Amino acid sequence: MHDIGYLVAGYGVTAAALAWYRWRLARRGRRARHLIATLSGRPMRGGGNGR
Amino acid sequence: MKVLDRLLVTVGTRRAQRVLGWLTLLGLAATAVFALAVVPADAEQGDVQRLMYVHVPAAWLAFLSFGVVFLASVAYLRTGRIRWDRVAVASAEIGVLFCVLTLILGSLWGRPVWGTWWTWDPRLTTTVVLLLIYVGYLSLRNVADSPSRRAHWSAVVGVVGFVDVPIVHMSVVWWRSLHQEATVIRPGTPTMDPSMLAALLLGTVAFSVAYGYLMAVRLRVGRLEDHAASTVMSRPSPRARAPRPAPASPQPVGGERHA
Repeated sequence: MHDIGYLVAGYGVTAAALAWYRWRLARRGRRARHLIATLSGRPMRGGGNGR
Repeated sequence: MKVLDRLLVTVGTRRAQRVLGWLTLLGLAATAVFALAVVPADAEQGDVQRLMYVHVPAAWLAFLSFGVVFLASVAYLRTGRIRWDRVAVASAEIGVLFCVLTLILGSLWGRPVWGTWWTWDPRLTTTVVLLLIYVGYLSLRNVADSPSRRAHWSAVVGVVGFVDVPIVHMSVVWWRSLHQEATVIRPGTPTMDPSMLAALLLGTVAFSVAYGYLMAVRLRVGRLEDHAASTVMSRPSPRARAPRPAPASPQPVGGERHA
């Protein structure tokens, strides 16, 4: 039964780490877009898509 | 170089990122189902051995990330193009994440099998050194005072730091270690049950797709952050924008002027 606890913790930590990093990237992207929009006086786009 | 350039442009599009995102989710879900429900438990270690299907791919991904840091750093030092610096730092960040994950998963696996959360075993020690090298790499970027100096310094660390990757891999061969020796990347055939090997390969492919997805998103964020930084730099400072006060007319010393 203890084994299951380690297993759940391991797979849980993996999923949480990936989700946290993806969330953090989204937040950083939003901040950068917001800053660009504020400083340039142009409305925010959803983009920044590789151009 | 041109092929890599084209690849970077392709994965930079929103459509490619969406496809990679879905593939990542599907791959990770398939790995979890296969590893937890389909593959039999290990005869000696029991269910806890199923941690291998995330621990080994996480370690592989850390190696892959640091390998990309090495290649991008070499490319930067040769060409001086800032794009390679962006690739290197993106990969280093992801590599650090997966290196931490490798250590945590190894610790969770080690506790029931070795009876301890941590031991200064050669494999574990060299992995911690690897993590510290790349944490240092990321910290160094905050110290440099100009973008080109920052890129140059980090490229040098990115090249030199990679030396530890083969040392981590060979540590179980060169020194006495609690950690088991390589069972897949070794001379001869892998010493593993075929169904376990299939689950491990599936996990490795799924994690590699996840790496591609995170890299694509991280590169887009990196471009946005660079754009934001250059926008900030190009704005005149508040002092430069403030209207200059009119030059004061010369006042007689002593204060009051008499008519």
